[in-house]
Amino acid sequence: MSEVSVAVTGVGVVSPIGVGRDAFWSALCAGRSGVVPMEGLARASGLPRIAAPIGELPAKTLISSPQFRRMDRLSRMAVAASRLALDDAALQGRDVAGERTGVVFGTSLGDLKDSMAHLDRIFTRGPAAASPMVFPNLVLNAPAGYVAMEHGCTGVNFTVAQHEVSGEHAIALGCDVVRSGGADVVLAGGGDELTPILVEAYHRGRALAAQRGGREWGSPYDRERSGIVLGEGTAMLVLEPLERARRRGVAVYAVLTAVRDYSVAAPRYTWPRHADAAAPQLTPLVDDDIDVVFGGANSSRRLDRCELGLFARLFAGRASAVAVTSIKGAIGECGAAGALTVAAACLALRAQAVPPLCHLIAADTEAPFRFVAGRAAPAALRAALVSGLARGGSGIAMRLEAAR
Amino acid sequence: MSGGPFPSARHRSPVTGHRSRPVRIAITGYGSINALGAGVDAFAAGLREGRCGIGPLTRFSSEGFRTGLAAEVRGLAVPDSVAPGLARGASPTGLLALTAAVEAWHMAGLGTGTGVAVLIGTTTGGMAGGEESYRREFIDRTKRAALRDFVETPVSAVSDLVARALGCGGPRLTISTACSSGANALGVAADWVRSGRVAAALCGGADSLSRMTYSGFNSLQALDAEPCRPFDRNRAGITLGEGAAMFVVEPWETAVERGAPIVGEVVGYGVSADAHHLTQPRPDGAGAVLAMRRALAAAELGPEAIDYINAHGTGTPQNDAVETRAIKQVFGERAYAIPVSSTKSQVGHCLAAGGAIEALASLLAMRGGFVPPTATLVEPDPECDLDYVAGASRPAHLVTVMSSSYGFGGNNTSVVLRGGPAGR
Repeated sequence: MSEVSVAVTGVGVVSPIGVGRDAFWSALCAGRSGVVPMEGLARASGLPRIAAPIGELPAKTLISSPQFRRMDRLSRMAVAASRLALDDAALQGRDVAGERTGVVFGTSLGDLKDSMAHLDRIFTRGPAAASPMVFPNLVLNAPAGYVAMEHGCTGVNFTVAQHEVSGEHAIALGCDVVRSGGADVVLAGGGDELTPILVEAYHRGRALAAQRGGREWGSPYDRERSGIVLGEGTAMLVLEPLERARRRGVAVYAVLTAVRDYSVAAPRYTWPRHADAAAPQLTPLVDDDIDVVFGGANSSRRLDRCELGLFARLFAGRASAVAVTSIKGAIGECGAAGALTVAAACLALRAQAVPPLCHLIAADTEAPFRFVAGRAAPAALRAALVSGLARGGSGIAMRLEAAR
Repeated sequence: MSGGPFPSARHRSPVTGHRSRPVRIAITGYGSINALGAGVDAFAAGLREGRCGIGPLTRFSSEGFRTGLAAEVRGLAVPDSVAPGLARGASPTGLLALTAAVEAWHMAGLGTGTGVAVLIGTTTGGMAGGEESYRREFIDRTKRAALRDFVETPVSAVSDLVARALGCGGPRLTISTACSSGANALGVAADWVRSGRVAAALCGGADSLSRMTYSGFNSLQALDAEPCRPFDRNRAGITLGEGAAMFVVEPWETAVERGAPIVGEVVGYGVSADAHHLTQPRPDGAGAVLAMRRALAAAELGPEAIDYINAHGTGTPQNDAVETRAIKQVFGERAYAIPVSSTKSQVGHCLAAGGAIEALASLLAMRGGFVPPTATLVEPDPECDLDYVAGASRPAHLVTVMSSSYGFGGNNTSVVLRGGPAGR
């Protein structure tokens, strides 16, 4: 592998189950779900849809930039998460201001809410009614731009998008930047927002969890799962060379040691039936030290089955020694949810515990993986595999090791 | 230049990716579509002739806007070699990307898409189609949107389309850094190849005109009522365009071994952030300076090696003045001896596609032995006193060039390119 190991030294999360590392982790461990009925998203029947929105965001306490008032909601979430991550990594303003700090953000849709509001304005009031205050925030790189402004980071700055693997890709690219020496510190992560038009789109695609009495809250890997529940959130990680982290004396959550990104054949608008074709590409990441897998399972019939098949192949012969989990029962699904998944994996490696699968009754596989339900289970975790797979077939996996 | 030392660029790129031994990145295919026509040869001819592709906006009504101009692509269709079913429902941006990708792909003659990565820079993705569907269903209430209209709207749908149509089985990524997206896609793709992560990559940028962006720039008072005139004393803003440029990149040695046409080389690139304002550039040009210096460092070249600069040159009062300042800071007195031009004067501001289109223009300039003009520049601004090649192209032997792109959000990228071996 490469000669620079990338350490995660800070985790900042804005999620439907809590803002900040501690709130997020303790809610995850308690098996709490952020999925709630939302009055603003009605179904044809008039009943509210379920989704996982973030709660109140104490933005003003977390964002100091004079640009605050101009920021759209997603950008505020991103900047807030970046502040939380930097504080967590014991990095002050002057530690990160300048050209040696990079920012990489992943978002599949950016500020879609304001994009739709912009269209509403120009279509109902005429093209000259567009707001110059709103338009700049419609670019997907607005959050990364505002993060850079908040902390004065003039280094490498990228925004990437790849459907449901946007978050993982951003973190992978952030690792590349650290490994190449292009930055001493990289703020890497991602975020996506819940919007009515998105819920409508998933509904029309018949991808949402059936809402009837019973298992309607989104239950990744569960035999009775009936579909996706959408959510929102942002997570930012502080990435730096392991050597630098050790010199600083800061605690390390995990070391990112390998990434593989790939694509498999898939129908245009949904997940592949099988991702087994990816197994040969992922085997270099998999060894007997992997004690837990954080999948991207989001309670869709296709994706979850696809992942279970892939994991069964990757861990054939030692499945009973591997815990498989997903946090999307707690936080819902969004394009950048993978960033929160990587954050959870980092927290799990530090805490040496496997967070539970929300709403799991019986896992939909014969493979003897360990599925934790109810509350987090303490476990000796040497390494974790994070796996993500997007509609259309692009996928990515990352290997993280517990800090020694 | 302040900041830490850069590691040897032969071994690694200061942006992302590295390898333990030097790897040159060859460009073995390129493809183009923009207001000057379809295909790289049409683009090259248009550039050399100094033709301006800006004309009346016909895609949608210009009523209510300050201007009625755009650099439109005409006759966009699914390329013949692509089965129609593969591209059904594709957005205009998707078709632009696909058109350019097909040309690049056939030129490179890789033969197989196994392990070939796809990296595309775009800001609008399928929004041009998405906004129409949205309007018909939710505003006019005349026609329900098809599911695929929703699904083709996100930016990543473009990479899916290109990968699917050409059978590319490697990783896929969409880069969305506003006007620097296409340049970043080329740079990151080169890094992926340099680091050995993929054997080859199909990369570039694409964006189409849309009411969303047109009305947005109009609201910022950033549209010139006349065809944009970069660096001109009377410049008053941008002219929006649309198009795509795509490249196939692979290791130089591999290209030589398989007898592929080498049409250029990605020597290096540099990235920075202004961290200043979402739309206004830093007045001192520090972000642009940093990106240029980083590109030179990655290329292991000094400023004296650059024979031509393809500027971002949007035609806004701020950009052109700041960019001029930045070029002088990096190149010193020599800035006056380097031709600098903005091909936005010919194909408009194609947003994310711009960086890729301009990298392509730079390659075609080297191939053709000419400097493209700033075609619409008539009266120079005293503040912009470099050699902007006003009006007409001129013959020149160009070996190494730099192309720069500066996007909303303060994303700055400069790419250093060399032409292919003599005659290509």
